[in-house]
Amino acid sequence: MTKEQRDKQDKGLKVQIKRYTPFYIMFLPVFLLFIVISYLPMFGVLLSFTEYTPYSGPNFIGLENFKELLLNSRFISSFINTLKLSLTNLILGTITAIIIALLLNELRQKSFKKFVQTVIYLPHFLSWIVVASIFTIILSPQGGAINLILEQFGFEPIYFLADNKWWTPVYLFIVRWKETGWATIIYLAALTGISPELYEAAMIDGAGRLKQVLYITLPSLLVTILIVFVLNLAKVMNLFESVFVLQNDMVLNKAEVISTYVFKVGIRQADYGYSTAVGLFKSLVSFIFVLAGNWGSKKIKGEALL
Amino acid sequence: MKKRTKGLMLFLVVMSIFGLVACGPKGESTKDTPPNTQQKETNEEKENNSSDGVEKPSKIHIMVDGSFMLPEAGQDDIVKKYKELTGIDLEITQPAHNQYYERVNLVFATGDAPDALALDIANMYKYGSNGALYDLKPLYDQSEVLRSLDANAIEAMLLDGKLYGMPKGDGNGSVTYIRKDWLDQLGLEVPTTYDEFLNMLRGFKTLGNEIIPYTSPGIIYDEYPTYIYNRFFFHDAIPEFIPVNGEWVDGMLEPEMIPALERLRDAFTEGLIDKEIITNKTSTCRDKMTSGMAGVFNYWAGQWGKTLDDNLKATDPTGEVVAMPAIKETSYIERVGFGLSVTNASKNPEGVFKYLLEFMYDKSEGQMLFTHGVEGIHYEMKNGELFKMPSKANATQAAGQVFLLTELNLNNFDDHFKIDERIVDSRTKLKQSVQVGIPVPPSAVLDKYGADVQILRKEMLVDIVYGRVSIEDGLERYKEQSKDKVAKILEELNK
Repeated sequence: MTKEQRDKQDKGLKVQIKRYTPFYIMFLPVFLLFIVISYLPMFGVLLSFTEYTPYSGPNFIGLENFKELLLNSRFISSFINTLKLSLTNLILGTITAIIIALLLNELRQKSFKKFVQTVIYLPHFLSWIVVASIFTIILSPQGGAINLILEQFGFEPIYFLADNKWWTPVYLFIVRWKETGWATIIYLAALTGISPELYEAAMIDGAGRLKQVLYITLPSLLVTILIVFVLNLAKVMNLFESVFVLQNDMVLNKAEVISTYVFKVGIRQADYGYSTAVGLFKSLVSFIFVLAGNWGSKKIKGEALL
Repeated sequence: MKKRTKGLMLFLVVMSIFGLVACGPKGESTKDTPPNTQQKETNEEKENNSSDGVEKPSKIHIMVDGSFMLPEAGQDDIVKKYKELTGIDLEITQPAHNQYYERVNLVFATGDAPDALALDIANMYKYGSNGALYDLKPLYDQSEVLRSLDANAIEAMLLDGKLYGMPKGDGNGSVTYIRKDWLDQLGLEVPTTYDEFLNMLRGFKTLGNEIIPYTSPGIIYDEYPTYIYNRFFFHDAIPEFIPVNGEWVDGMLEPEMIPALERLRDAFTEGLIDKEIITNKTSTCRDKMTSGMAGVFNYWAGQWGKTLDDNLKATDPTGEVVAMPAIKETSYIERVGFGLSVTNASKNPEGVFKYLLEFMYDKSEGQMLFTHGVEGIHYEMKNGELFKMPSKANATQAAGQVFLLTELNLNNFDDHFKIDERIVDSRTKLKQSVQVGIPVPPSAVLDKYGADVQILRKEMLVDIVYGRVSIEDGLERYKEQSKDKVAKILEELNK
């Protein structure tokens, strides 16, 4: 940019501020709050280059924390678990939400449709503590409903939440039970935006329900699916609450994720430097995922989302 | 319109700024006071000093866990009475009980430590050895009041000759509580041996499909002493670092651990141990006991001896929970005392020692205040005997402790309070056969690797007890996975 262009731009901004002073003044507290709450704390990442405990530090140690985490088997295991659980959940979540949205969209009776929507949205509003308590009771090996049914059919009771083989599928089921309904909202909204004329034309051409879904509905939903997918991709590494309330000592090799690992090392063991390094690593991976998703969107749709 | 808009904008901006700055700390402790003011206060306070020259603080900030009276139970009344008796403002920070040590770590890390805080012995050693706590030994040696406390309790808290906290009472320990009414129903006596104990559990199992003979919050615990529960299965095995013939070793790999694991595995396979032992919390075990689901539960002696029985009787008036003596193959574990430590962040540790710690143990109004509370609010005296009044938190229950407990008293203070027999009984059963759990000395290496080793222990114990792996394979796997970390810890401990 030349000096002339810069001067022109500045003059432009100054003019803008002068012209719309009251709005800029109104925006100022929000901007300051955003800087204080969202940006200033980012300086905390400097702790990842220090040794910092309740009784020593912060003492600068360079990249030692990062070297340690790459060699730590617990960290590696939690990183792999995070990816496995999150990506599986993301794919399952997208598929189930689309399917439920399509099915809901086919319901003709409005009152029944509203009833079903209400019922499937409700679990989203329950806190994870409550959900964990509910499913702990239902899945209990002692008197839990599921195991009572299993015992009726002659099977031995299964300690689902404490069994390495069962924990992951049960966890994914619980997350889907809680969140699928809410996730359908965006897709339902997108579906209402599809022109009915397209469906009419398809019917005239002899397309059945399935072909209408495949050739009209899904392509029309593609942009929405991509946006939601990329947004959720950014949250892949942020798995915490749902795992924390459902994990226990028996399934840590499947259920320990990065966020719960950071919580235990950082808050309980008070190794603030190392846990900040783990957190920073996690953020970098999230950033890479977002960029990858954006690139994928550009390849598929021809335009980037960010 | 433009003027009005501008005025509105200005109003919104000013309100936003006020909104932001309003979210500040409530008050200031002595250490937050600006230097000039502090100097002025010190000069004024000097006029009010006691004759021994100890400066009287204007405010003392303490941090306590859930063992201190909660705000809803009348904590403010304690603070008011303390001010009335000493002229000092007592500021109490009380985080949620299950997050207490996380908050303790944070206050030290951020340099926001209070004047004094409650700590268990493991954390007291850790913070003391790292220079965060004030050594009270010289003050203790000069204090007639505190030298009246049980010398053994003080001795047990010393670390390299330094005293980093005053014990709040006897450390207490865990006893086995059983359903006496079920025993009577089965015609059984209170067991005295492991075989009799197993027979009792088998008997309880016959009482119903929903019955859990033995429940516990995990096979090992996360806090010191980690082996306080399940002693009847472990016997003399200790799943922790222990001193053997003057040398620290990993108790998990000692010979007595193998039969202990066999006992646990066999009892679990037979259905005598709660299948949810791994996911149980102490609260779920208490609920199982008091709702009539569980027959045996290992828990703290003292007040819980009464509470468990009362809570069971609320649902089943014919039910009865009693503490049983230890079986002959083992003994109960008692921990070294939990206490109150003065931090090095305090500007006036001598003042805190005199006006808080000595006051708390003065065998007079101070000790009454920190044991039972305020007369007329938490208790009343009738014919020379103390009776608890209804709790402000729950009128159907008697007011609880403030901080010190009569039954754990260390200086024979007669507070004229008749302790419930069940409390006395559980404490007696504990003391009949007990050994002190030796805390592992603190070190940076233990801090770094201790948690990882504990997780490996738990994984191994769980896999063995649940029958997923043989005892030999489980121990071998633990040995292999933990060897580097355990070697570093033991090298540090045996220096």
